[in-house]
Amino acid sequence: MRWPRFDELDDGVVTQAYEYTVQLIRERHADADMQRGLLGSFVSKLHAILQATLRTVVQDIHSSLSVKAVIANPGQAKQELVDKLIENVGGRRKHIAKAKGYVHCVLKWPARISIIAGEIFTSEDGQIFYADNSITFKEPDIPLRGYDEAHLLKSGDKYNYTIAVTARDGGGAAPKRNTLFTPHIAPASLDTAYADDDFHGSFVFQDDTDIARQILTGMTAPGYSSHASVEAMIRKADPDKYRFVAAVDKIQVVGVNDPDGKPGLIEIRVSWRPGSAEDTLLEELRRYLNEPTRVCLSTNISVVTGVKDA
Amino acid sequence: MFDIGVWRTATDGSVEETVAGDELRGMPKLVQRVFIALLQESNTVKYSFGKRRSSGCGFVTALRSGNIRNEMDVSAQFCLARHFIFEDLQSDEVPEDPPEECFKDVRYKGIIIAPGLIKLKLNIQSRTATVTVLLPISMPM
Repeated sequence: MRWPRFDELDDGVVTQAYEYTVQLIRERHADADMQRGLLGSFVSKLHAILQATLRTVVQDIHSSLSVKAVIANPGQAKQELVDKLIENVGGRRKHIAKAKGYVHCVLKWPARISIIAGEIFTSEDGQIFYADNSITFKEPDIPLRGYDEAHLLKSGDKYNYTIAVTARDGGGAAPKRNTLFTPHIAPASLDTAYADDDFHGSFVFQDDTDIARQILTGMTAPGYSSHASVEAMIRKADPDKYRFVAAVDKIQVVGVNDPDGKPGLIEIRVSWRPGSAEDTLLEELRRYLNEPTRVCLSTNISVVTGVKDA
Repeated sequence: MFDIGVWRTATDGSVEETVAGDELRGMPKLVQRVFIALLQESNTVKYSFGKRRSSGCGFVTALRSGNIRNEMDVSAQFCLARHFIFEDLQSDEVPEDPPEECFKDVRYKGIIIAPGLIKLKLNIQSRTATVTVLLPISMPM
């Protein structure tokens, strides 16, 4: 952690430390001149500054390494220390990130379309997106000349192409599937443009209070704290609500610290009883593990793979 | 009331460093206060320590700048600093202070310049006595 500089301390804390120092010296040496001179002007003041530095560090630690303190006084927490706090429970702060996705454009008739990287697409809610790459789409019967060319796809009597876009600003709401987009320069043949699928990757910067709340919730919620708890969490699911409970045979949990574990990923391998509808059950199990009450501290935990011979 | 000493005034009026931590009273205490006020640079204390007055002067800042070349330069810088020394010392005093520790005046009497060193000759007056001291200062020349 970074120690505060000697010239950026709070004046009130320094004054308090100074008065305390003067009081201590006076108690031992009633005859010492603390008003002026070397003792009054230097020794006591320098000592007060060092003392105030220590007090500030201790206060920072108190304000940042206690979940309750962070929630009570979020402004006093130090971001770097809160990062350490979440590291202790295997988490990571979410930083601001931009939404990414694909825009599907439909043309009424075939026409050559040239997209330049950075071309603007505006979503229904007014967010600005930029095209990731430069690419030229040609009519299906015209030969391609380079790696940055592609054919328009024919669908019924219309033609279409898809381009990757990224939001200009991070933290905005990620557009859902079928959200309409407006190209800044729309070709005359354009019929419509919309999100090919749900956009992803948009995060707002996670502040200290949110992290503290997440830790607090995570500690009291059923979660991924150990292999046994993961298995128990799956087996104790309500069998009337979830069909996978009856179909689960063996469960194997591969955590980060296991020989074949991967950073930021807990892999759960499940074998099903004979005759189970594996795909449906697997999807149901995934949904169950991703429910909001089963809080996980990293976005990459909660992947389930249906390996049969667990 | 005593102060801890870091400078010792010898019988010939020259000033030497001391590590003894002597208890200073009377005139030697006042001499040390004058030195502290003269040698402390302005704005080097960032905190108010309960007061609302900044201390220090520009004398050492001027010496450190390397632009001091002759006796006239030193004399001019001392005259500029003298006002701040008055302000510093008198604002710290209270009526109960013994008169030999109360600052009355400081005057520039001369200088001895050697390569990398100046010796400042000062006349320091309390309400009851006067002492002439030689303060050696290492500096770029």
